[in-house]
Amino acid sequence: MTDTIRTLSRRDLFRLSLAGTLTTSPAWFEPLRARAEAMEAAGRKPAKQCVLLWLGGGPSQAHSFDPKPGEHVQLVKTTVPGLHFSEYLPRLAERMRHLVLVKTMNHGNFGHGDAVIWSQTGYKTRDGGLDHPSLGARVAHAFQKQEAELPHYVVVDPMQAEGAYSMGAGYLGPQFAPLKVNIGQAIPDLQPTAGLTPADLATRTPVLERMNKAFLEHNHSSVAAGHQSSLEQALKIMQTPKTRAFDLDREPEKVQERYGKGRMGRACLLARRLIEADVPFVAAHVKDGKGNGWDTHMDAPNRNKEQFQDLDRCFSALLDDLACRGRLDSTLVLCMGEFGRSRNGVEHNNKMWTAVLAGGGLKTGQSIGHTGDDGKTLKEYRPVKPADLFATVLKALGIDHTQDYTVRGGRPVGIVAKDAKLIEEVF
Amino acid sequence: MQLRILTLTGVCVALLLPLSAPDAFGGEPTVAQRIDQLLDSQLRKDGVPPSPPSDDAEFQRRVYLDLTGRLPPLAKAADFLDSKDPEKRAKLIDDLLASPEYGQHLARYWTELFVKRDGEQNKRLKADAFRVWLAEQFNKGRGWDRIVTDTLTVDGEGPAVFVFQANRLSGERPSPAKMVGATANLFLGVQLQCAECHDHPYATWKRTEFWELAAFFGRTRFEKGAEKNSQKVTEAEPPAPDPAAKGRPGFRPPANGKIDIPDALDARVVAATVTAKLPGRPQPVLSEHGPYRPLYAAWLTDPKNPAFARAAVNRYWSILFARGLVNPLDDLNPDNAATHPELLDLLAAEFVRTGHDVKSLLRSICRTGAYQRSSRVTAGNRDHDGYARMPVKFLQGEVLLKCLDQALGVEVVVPVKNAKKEAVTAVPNAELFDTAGYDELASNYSFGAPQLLRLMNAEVPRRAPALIAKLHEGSPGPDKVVEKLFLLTLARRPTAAEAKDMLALVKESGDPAKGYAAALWILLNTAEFVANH
Repeated sequence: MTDTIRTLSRRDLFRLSLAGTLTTSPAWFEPLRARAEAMEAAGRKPAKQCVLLWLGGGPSQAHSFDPKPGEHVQLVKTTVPGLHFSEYLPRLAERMRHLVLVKTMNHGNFGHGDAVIWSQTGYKTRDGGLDHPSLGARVAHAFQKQEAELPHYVVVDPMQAEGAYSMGAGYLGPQFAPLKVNIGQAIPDLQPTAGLTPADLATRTPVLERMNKAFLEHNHSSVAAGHQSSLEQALKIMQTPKTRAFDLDREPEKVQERYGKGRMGRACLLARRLIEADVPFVAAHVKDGKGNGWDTHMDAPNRNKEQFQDLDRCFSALLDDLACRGRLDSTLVLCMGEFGRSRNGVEHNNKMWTAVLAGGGLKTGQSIGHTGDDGKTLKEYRPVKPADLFATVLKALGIDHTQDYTVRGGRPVGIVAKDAKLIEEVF
Repeated sequence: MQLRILTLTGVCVALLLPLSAPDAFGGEPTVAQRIDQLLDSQLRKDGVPPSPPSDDAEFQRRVYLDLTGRLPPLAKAADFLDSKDPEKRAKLIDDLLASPEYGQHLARYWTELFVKRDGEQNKRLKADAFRVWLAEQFNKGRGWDRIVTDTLTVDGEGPAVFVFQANRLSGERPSPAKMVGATANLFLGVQLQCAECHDHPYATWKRTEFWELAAFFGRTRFEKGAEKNSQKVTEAEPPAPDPAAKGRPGFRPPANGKIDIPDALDARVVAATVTAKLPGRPQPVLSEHGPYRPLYAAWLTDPKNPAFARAAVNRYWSILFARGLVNPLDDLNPDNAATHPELLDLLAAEFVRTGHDVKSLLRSICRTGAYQRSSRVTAGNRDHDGYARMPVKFLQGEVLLKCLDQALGVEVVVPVKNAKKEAVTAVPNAELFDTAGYDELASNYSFGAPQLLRLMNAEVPRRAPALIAKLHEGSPGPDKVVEKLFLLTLARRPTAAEAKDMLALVKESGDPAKGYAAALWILLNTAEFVANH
């Protein structure tokens, strides 16, 4: 499709440039497969799918995964000795053995807009003059050859205010942009409307495909080839029974209640249904009933209590369902916002905040990074940048995190920043 | 020899068309021919056969989309195809360059480049007034150097304040670093922004040189404008701070062209202080309070600054050919040679000579055999990317949506409104089809399944019936309606096989309106419709 955005590992690139063929070689490399084979040889199967629970606005670590004694909340013991959660997360505390806490997340942006970009793409705003793709688009790009009846990347309950760049595909191009779905609303795009019946579709598509084939044959180009493959995919999506995944009413009442019937619960439930329908990457925005995120400048104690109690319910239900369907080892769950909050839960904090990983065949039941007794002072200096986290996620998914994309007339840009460090403890 | 031809032709043009400013690009045919000579000699050297010339339909749709971002209107499409006038292509180019849509199209292109995805900062920007102003400048045929100068030297209120807002540091002032980064990037084709934090890794820019340029914007700040929510740009000394005022002290602009270089790791620490200075020029005399921007703009647009014209012609070239003579478009440096260095020199020299006339530049390029080549593959040039055939271009989101409006007969709503009305964009689906971030070479992309699903299932079926009813008025024969549908969407007549397919659909459907709707649906979902070839 996009011939010019090829994925090359750094070694491939080096080899090619030695041979002097870098600019002309149209070869397709599959570092992905090599990586997966290496992993399997080492006895660990990479995860195949990923759910991102996005807590937009910046969740308070002090009221959730990194509380300190004597602050605002009671502490509850988790199932891992020495680790405590806030009283709002009793269910997740019981499931700590499935989780990895990364408590020293850190980046350089204090405002939402730029922090969202950094925490969703792993790069600073327009680093190197580029619009960087979100994690989901990177995964969709890596898995593009994988057969799927639904899109490779779905965003649930998108944030309207953040606009197109949020969770977007950046320089990878619109082919890797997500299908965005609102909860509780029909998806007009998926169902033929206005009298367009499956029978109509059956008579029309052969003519359309004939025209496209002729055009591509005469006008060989990435544009025409990409259109054809996107069209095939779109037609497949319209016809697959897997689109039932979008219909939450098909879920038993009891299950809906277990997730919570609020907006947050429904987002998580939809995420689980999409994972079951084999969507490789699902990003679910997790918000309260009013559509509020986690930017708790006002009324922080009450909002944190309610929202984390809701999160406790739906995040736990998601983990349980993935586990009992045998999908937890092959599905990596990542739960984070663009940053965290000050210890009272009121102000932004981009220096020491928590991201949570779950499942994915990782060594779970551990916490990375120490935030001291007060949550303000680092005991050992170990800032984990979004790029470090993403490198770890990509590796867990069997995607070579050292590879480069080739963009803009041959410029190599890392799938994550060159200096990204894996969180080795989880492998 | 070369000089003589240019001069002679220049004289002829001057004699024949003394009042016609757009024709001042001295010896246009010669320029177009020289472009072809340079491109063709390279093709011969590479042993790659060029594709044959485009047919009229291919050319017509291409030049409309490239110069105006619109499809040929139904009323005109067939006339052009049927015209026997040997000069019809040249005339069409001139007509399009004289149409208001020409300026609007370029204004859209440049405004998108200015509104970088700056997360927090650019969410609520109102680009409309700037876009309207820019469109007027292009349509009036103002020189590119004048347009850039006016933009950078805006003093007080004005549409160009938008550019400063798009590169702001805070509500109080634009970011000097972003202003230099963005303007050097767009107008000089250099990636100077790297030098904000460190010496440029492979070019000759030093960090101090970058900040010496930034110093020309060091005093620039915003002030409340006359109307609600409006702002002006000024270097005037702000009122003295009220010692009793609480809160953070406001920005105190530095005097005498000084600027503090922030420490790369901690912006609160001053690493050094430098004075406004242009690279390779002596220290200018600087007044206490500026403004210094006019000096920067004069240096940037100086004909003696070769980068300005080269960066511009490279960008305008890329609009037509989906690739620059230098790529990336913002990386003109000695280590990144042009594919056709002589051609870049020729275009830049002509651009300067004509007073940076964009219309003349585009006219010359559109008249070349290279531009008018077919995109169809000829044996031996399938994978060649050096002008043997026209690349197939992806229609940028907003252009595609406009074309859809146009084809479906819905009145085209220009999403540019008076700044007072504050409607930034009224284009439905703009977000889903947004392509502003997707890099710069329109040959590399295609839309994905989410966009095609929207086209197939929501947009086309919803809007088709009204159009079909109109085309069907007076019950012309089915072959006539099908032909109109092809002209409307693809600006060509159907081939025999296509006509047969479509007429069969109409017949089978029982209800002609339904059959035509099916034909329209198919046409609007073809690669040919969503591409410019």
